[in-house]
Amino acid sequence: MNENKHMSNPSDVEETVEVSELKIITFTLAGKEYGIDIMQVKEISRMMEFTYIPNAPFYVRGVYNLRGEIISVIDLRLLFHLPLPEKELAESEEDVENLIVLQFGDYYLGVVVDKVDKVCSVRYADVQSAHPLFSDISIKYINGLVHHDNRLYILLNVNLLADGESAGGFGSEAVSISLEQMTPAADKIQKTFVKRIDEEPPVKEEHEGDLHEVSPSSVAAESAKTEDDQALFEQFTAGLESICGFYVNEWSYRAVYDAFSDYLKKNGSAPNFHTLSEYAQLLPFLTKEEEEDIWSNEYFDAIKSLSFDTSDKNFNVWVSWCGYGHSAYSLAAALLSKKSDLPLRVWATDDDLLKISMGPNLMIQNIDPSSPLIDYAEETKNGFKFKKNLAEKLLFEYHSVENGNQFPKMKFIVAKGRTSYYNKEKAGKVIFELCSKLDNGGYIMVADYESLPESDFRLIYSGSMRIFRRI
Amino acid sequence: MRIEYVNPFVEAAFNTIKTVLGVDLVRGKLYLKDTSQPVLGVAVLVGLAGDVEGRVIFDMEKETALKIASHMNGETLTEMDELVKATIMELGNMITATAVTRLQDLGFSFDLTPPVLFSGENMELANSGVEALIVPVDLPQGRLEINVAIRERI
Repeated sequence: MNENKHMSNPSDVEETVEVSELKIITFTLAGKEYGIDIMQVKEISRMMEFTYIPNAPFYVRGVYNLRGEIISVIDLRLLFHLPLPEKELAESEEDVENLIVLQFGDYYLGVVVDKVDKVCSVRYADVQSAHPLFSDISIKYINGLVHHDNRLYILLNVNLLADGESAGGFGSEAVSISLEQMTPAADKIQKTFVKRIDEEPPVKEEHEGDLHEVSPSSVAAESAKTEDDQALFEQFTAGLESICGFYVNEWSYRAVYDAFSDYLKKNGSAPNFHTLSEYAQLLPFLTKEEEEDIWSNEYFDAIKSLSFDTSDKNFNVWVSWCGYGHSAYSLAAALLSKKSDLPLRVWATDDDLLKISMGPNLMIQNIDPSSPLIDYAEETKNGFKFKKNLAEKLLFEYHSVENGNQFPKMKFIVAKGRTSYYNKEKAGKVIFELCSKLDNGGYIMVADYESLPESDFRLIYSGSMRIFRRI
Repeated sequence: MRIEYVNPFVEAAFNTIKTVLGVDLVRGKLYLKDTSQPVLGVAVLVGLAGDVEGRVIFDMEKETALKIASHMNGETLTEMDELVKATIMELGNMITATAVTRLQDLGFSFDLTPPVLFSGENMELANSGVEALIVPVDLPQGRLEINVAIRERI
């Protein structure tokens, strides 16, 4: 396949060695343009009369007999709550539909779209991560954005459709959609970037004064101002990127935006910072030292208060960016002290080879006697060493999150304060990797300034770190 | 890739090359990679199976392959003939086997597949979805890149 591509496009031959091309099939949903990697498309066809299946989720149109192969057909417009074209509202069952048949291994899935457009070649390097507020559809279905021929295409992650169907992931989608339904779908398309942000329901924060609620009426009054504010905010984040190496992403957006607008309100002008320490005064987490130590009791107590589904054969957890492994041992001990016969497996990964190499033989100088870790450590003349019954649960891997992995679904993921240090291109991939590995009902631990989208996650604990649960 | 696997491969590569070629080597910085990448010209692939699944690829330019084979055979070889191919495959096999022996001593069970050699111009290795450890080795004969991808069977 790759070879053919090279031949058909001789002018690119020299480039293709360095630059991998991506071919996408483009199509429209409610007037917006989307793309799917052609390698996942089996065929395109027009079909009608899908066989209806009772009790299927609302976005499932039915099944279709594709030359003897029974495929299930879902409607992307229903799944993403986009308006159907007029004519189809009247006679949707009878109408001929544009169908893209996707292939996942030996399993096919048909998706109904408004209109299939064309095939175009783009370069992997040109794919940018999507801003969480950009699209009308849930960010988890978006691989990125690509600009081609003066048009912007949203690249869909279709693997999630296959995953979702087999793993029951759509169940959680239904919840988030029912919340979204409160605003009319057609109206949503018109919303601008700024308005979308302000209309999000405010995060309920009891302990932190700097996160405030924005009431709808104040938004209306200030709507004229927000356009200017938005430009100022963009200047502010550009400085964050170049001076602090901090890229605002969907997790860190709220904390940064709220701190910024507080400053604006107090001082009447936008912050004009030139050094990291100036930024850190407004956003203290920028200079907070990365912890390379075992957890404090606050963390252990937080884990203790969580309820886990332990019915599965394995209980997999993932500590990303684990450094030397302190947090991985801590998490393992916290979980085992809840249930000592838990079939636990801890994946501890980091992309710093020197640090992660220390993981399997980590020594600790001091352990507080009240810490649950004390039960899993033995004192030697060089410090504390973890006992085999704890250490054997851990698997240390030299791994970069942005490269993707083959890990199973995780019940708990630790991903504290690192995603915003990936540039925009990589951050989308990293966040996607983390979220896609989290089981339904699983927990994710993030830094105290990170907020996960409310459509999919519920805040469970907030203190010196936060724990969200996938719903 | 599991941290326990990294050192055996790096050590095996360095010790084997040092012994076989009798040369000093410079180790480049190890790094991880997932995207597809160009093959320099000659690539030897050795598959791994057992507790894990994976493969090791030894990638070098044709010139480098010829020089290494010349050195190992004690004669000057200028064509990619059977002898050169067999020599390069054997080198790949020796390095991988040494690494696997070390890993077996540590309690991991691995099996090898016979080495396969690819050569050609403008080849590309599609590696998508597999994260590989790259061990660059600088020899007087040129650069050799060892590309190791191993994952646990779950």
